[in-house]
Amino acid sequence: MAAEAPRTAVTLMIDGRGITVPKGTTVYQAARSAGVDIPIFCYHDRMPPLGACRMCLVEVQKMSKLQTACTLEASEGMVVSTTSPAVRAAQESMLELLLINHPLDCPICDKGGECPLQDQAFRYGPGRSRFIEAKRDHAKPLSLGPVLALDRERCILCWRCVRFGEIIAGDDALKGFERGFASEVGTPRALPVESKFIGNTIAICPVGALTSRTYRFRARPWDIDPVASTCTYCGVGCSVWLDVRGGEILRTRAREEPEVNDAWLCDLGFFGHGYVAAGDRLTTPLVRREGRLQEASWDEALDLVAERLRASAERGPGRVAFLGGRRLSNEDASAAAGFFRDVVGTPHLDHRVDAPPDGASLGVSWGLRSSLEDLGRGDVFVLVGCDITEEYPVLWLRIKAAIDRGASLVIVHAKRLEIRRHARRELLDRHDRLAPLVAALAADETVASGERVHVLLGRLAMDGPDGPNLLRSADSLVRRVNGTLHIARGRGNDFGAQRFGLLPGEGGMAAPGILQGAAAGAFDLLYVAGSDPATAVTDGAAWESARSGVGFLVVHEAFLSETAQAADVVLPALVLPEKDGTVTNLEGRTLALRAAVKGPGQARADREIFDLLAARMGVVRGHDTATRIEPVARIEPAAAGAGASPSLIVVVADRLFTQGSMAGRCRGLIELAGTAHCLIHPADAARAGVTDLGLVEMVTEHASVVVQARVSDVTLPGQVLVHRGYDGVPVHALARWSPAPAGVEVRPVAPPGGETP
Amino acid sequence: MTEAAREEIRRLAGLYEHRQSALIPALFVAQQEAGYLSPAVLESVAEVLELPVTEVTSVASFYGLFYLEPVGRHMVHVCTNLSCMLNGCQRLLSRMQEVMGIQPGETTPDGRFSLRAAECLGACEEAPAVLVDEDRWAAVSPEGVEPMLERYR
Repeated sequence: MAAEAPRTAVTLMIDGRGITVPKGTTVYQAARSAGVDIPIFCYHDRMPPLGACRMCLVEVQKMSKLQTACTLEASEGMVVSTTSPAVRAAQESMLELLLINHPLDCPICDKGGECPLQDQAFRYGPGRSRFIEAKRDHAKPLSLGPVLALDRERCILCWRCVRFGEIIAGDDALKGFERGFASEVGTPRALPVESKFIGNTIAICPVGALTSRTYRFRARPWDIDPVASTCTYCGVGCSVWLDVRGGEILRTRAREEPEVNDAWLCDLGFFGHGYVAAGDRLTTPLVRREGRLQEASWDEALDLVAERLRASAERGPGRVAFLGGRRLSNEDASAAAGFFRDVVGTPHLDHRVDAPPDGASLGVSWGLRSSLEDLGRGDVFVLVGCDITEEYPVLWLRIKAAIDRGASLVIVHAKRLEIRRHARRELLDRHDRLAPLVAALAADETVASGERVHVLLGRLAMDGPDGPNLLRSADSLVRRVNGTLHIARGRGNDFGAQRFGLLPGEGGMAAPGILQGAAAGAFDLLYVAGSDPATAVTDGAAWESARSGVGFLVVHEAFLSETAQAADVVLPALVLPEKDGTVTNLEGRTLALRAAVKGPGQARADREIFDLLAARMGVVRGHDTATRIEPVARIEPAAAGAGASPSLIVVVADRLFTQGSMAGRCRGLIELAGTAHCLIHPADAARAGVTDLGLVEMVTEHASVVVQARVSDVTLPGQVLVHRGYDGVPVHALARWSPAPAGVEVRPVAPPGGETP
Repeated sequence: MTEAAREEIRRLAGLYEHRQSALIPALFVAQQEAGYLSPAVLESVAEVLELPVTEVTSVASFYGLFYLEPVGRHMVHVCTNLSCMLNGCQRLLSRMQEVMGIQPGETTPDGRFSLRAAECLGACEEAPAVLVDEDRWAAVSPEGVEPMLERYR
């Protein structure tokens, strides 16, 4: 906004000072730009003004009544006072009225010390109350789900939280109920709030009405040290403050970064730091002796790894492979790539651990093909197999803002997305039949007439049975409409791993090839860092046979993951909030990480581990330059169509809240993830005798898993959706890599001791 | 909710540019059929209008003529606002309570009547005013209560 020259300017007087602002500026904004402080509660600069709280009243010459500065447009020659006796009296009255029902329980309120109501009562308030009647009395606090607590007595009905859900997130999570004196914000019948962005409402609440259940009573703002860093969950790379006290991260907050996350975070980011301080972090190296992993010193462990690497080198080059990268920093990734390419001498490295061999993911580089800001300026968005609020939530906020400015959203998916209400068109079909829908989009009037069309191709599309065809259809669509094709694939620092060389080199194998090679005995040693292939590889048997075919497995891990449990050497690694460095987000932007806390025990940064190993192999490494490898997007012709399609297929989908190794150790997120479940269409459920919330066994020709069933038309007939990311439920065991969709049978499981129907 | 009610709500939605505009008439359609707006009914309205159930519930909770709890077959509102109070609505309300044997906010055990004290019914010129279902009764005296209620079985 600031970059645009004002077409016409107006000059007004505020408190005796002449201020020139672009036409259309409000008096509040004009005052703020000149450093004049006007108190506000309901106004928030990311939302249109409302004028509900009346705190910003100012006196304007020639206007008979006091005016709300947040809604009043500045005009030429306007003379405004923010300090006249009438304004002062109004400010005192407003605060006196707001405080009538406010409990003034600041000493036990989490907001104390960072509370606009407290600050303004101190600065502008009357210092006394004439109200002698009983105050409003509510049970407190009201729990609205695992992370949000509502104290209705403290609420001043500014509507910020309600409007955030309507305007910014588009999820309408919180609303006003009842009327007049009985008005309150909340959810229908105080049900758990349904939102992926509710942490933001806690952040923008100007009083202590909305507080975080994971942070309540943990600290005061003056006790915590905020560390500026970056969230590393989904790949958007939101800027955060990590609030640290006593060596522990107690709270995560959004840090304003207009080009990435603006002022927002998703709840995975807000409540996702607990794993760092989890009690089951690995603190010493572990070495397998007599079949069991046992504690060892760093020297023992590193000597053993170095010895195995040397022994492999003696047998010939390229007999070592590396998998992982998603949870590494750029520096770690660069050190790993350098170590394996130059010191070990192998081209077999890949971070794309969850990519199948026959999808479209291995042929293209992952990430956006424009900046987030450019994407936000689009006028047509096509989401193909991309469940944006489950995969890249804060990216959705940008698209939502574009829709509000007139852009159109078209969804092509195998699932009814929660944002479907905002879509102009929704094209649904079973997972294995999506490609024709994309091809047909070229004839869609909105898409064809779009000037800035952005197509986001997601994992579900690329790795599905028709992945290569979908990629080709999407590619020809953007060529026809002169749009941009984004590969919405990858999480964490996959984008840094890709950029800094954790990809197959000349003659190197990709991740599926490495696994198949390992199974066939092509490698002496498999090395894993920043990944948990045992749960991530989408063909459960591929990992099992790779593990048994390789002589020696080395794993860097923060927890005793399934991969670590199968390892010969486990080296305890720091997690990203414990490291200085950088990560790369999905648009390719480099973002800073700052070590917020120290790691546990003897855990070390991955990069340091690689350096120590290199030194043992006789190479001392510096890190001035990183190998930059930018793979070129290649679009391969589609594989021949698969055979007959089964009547019920299983699709492994993504979910924001899961019980993986990080989120599964964070209070609040565990409850949000809930139990592992599958989504089955009512028609299929009726046929299989499956009831909502009952346990079912999903049986494929390879394996079976037991999960809870949710009967829902979010999925389509003929297709069962099951979520990955619940480490206790090995959904990837259900399928094998294959270009054909995986058939599944779903059977109800009688509860133990239950009646037999 | 029956298909007929759904169809009527869809028809109402077609009358307006924005789906939200049809919400209040839609809630009346649903309430007329179901008697009151239970969570399940509110969800059905939300589903047909493709609106968030939070918004539908919020709007329903705002208006006094939408009932979120079960009510009797006939709803009796007695206005207690200024004009009606000056014209003796308290005696009228007492008589109602006596005849029905319930307090404002309650429903008779046989499910015939629910009684509510209402804010302004917009009939000050004929105070005290009573609203039974959709019928407005003007200048009701305590003596008129029984014959009036007799008309509603």
